[in-house]
Amino acid sequence: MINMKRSIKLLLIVTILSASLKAQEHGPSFITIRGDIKTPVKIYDNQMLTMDRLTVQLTGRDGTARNYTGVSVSNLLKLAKLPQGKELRGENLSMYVMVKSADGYQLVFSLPEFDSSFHGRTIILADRLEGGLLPVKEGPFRLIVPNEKVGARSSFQVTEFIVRYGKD
Amino acid sequence: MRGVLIFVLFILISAGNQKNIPAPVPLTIAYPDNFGHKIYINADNPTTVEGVLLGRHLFYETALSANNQISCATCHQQARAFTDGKRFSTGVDGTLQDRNTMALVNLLWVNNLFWDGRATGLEVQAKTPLTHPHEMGQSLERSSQKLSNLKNYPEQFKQAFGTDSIDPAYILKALAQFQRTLVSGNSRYDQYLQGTYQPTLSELNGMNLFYANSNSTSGVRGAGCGRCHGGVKTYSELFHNTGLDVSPTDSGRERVTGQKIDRGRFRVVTLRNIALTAPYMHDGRFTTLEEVVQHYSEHVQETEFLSPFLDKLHLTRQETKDIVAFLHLLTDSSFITNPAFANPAQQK
Repeated sequence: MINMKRSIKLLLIVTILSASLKAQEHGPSFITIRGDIKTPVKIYDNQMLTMDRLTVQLTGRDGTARNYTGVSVSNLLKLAKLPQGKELRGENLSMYVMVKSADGYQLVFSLPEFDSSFHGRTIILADRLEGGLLPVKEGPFRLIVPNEKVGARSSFQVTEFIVRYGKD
Repeated sequence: MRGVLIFVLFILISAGNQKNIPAPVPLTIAYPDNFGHKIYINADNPTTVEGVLLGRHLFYETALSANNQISCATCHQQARAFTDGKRFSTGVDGTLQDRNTMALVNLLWVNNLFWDGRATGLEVQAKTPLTHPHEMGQSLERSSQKLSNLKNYPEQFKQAFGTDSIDPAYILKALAQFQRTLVSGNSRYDQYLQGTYQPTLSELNGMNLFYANSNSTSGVRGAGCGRCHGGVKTYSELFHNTGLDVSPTDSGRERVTGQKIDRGRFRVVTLRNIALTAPYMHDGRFTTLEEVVQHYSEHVQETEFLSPFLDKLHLTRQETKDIVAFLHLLTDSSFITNPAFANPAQQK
């Protein structure tokens, strides 16, 4: 029984490693967090595999629910020392995050939209679909915004999170 | 004490000189409201009447090229929506460019210039064609020297930027200001939107196909062009691999980002005045709009880097004709004849 568990664990490690190696064929993939923060942060695909992983469902246009796995955007933004939880008050509530994709597509979220203390849902940056790598057309990183009537904010090929303060 | 007096005198004289130069007059660029307001004006280079006029003179100035024979307008001709009709333009040294000359239309909404978006802002972009050895081939410093010796320029720079010395940065700023004014928003399509033009059946059908997505359940036919050529101005700042080649010889935006997912990705251009800007695509491979639509209909190459939003459209012959009819509707004759964009030397 122990041997079997060990074998499954080994198989899992090999699967993840081979997936990572496949990703490496395209060079290391990364996203950048920049903007009104002290130091821009680059997060690589390998680093994401070491962070707390979450799986959420997204229903496609064809009505099929699919399982996407990755890291909560809130945890990624934590690496850039962005305010979270109780810190999200006062002027921090005027912060927003522009999510940019490789094709130039741009979306805006207010910072609290990523925070679980404000929202019952968790938005993730996915790097896996049903356990495998994302299809090239969607990945290497796709934003998954669950429970939205329109899928336009679950954007493909995310490359940057740009943090700004709304100023007037 | 004498030193202090001289210093005070100097300050007074300087202040007096400043007063002799009237401040340039701010210019608000007019454009249709339905184009949206995601415009790009450099905060360090506000648009002024004098700056735009200077930029227009510089745009048509051959002294900015190493052989004194080429100006920006050589490759960017107003009658062709600021293109030159060639697959590849020729530089001062006789070398052909790597990519097709881009139209200068509605640049007010463009932040990342060139086919691969490598230059942020028109001020940055202008430096390349002016100085590249295969384009106009002259350093900005040399251009400054030459302009200083030409009649009217020192005075025009003074009026636009308040200085006698022609700084290279001001050449770029003036050119950027002029190019921002090249707004095209008076085509028959705009007139249709305002209720003053009745499109033909073919144009209307083309318009519907352009904006609609095909839906096999409802039977709606659509080409979904508007997804990328978005909105009324038929432009969103996007870059896509449109399936031109299985193995692109020009890697496009990948050269800028270093990311393989950007292989063969190029700017999605505005379709305003597109009927005037043949040949088409980054390498000018298609000579007609029919060929372009045919590409999207039947010849899109399925590669891993193909835009996720593209698939062969399988249009009928009539549908192709209708889409092309709609594209012709985007021609703005007032844009290509607007005297404010023409060579000022020929208007005197």
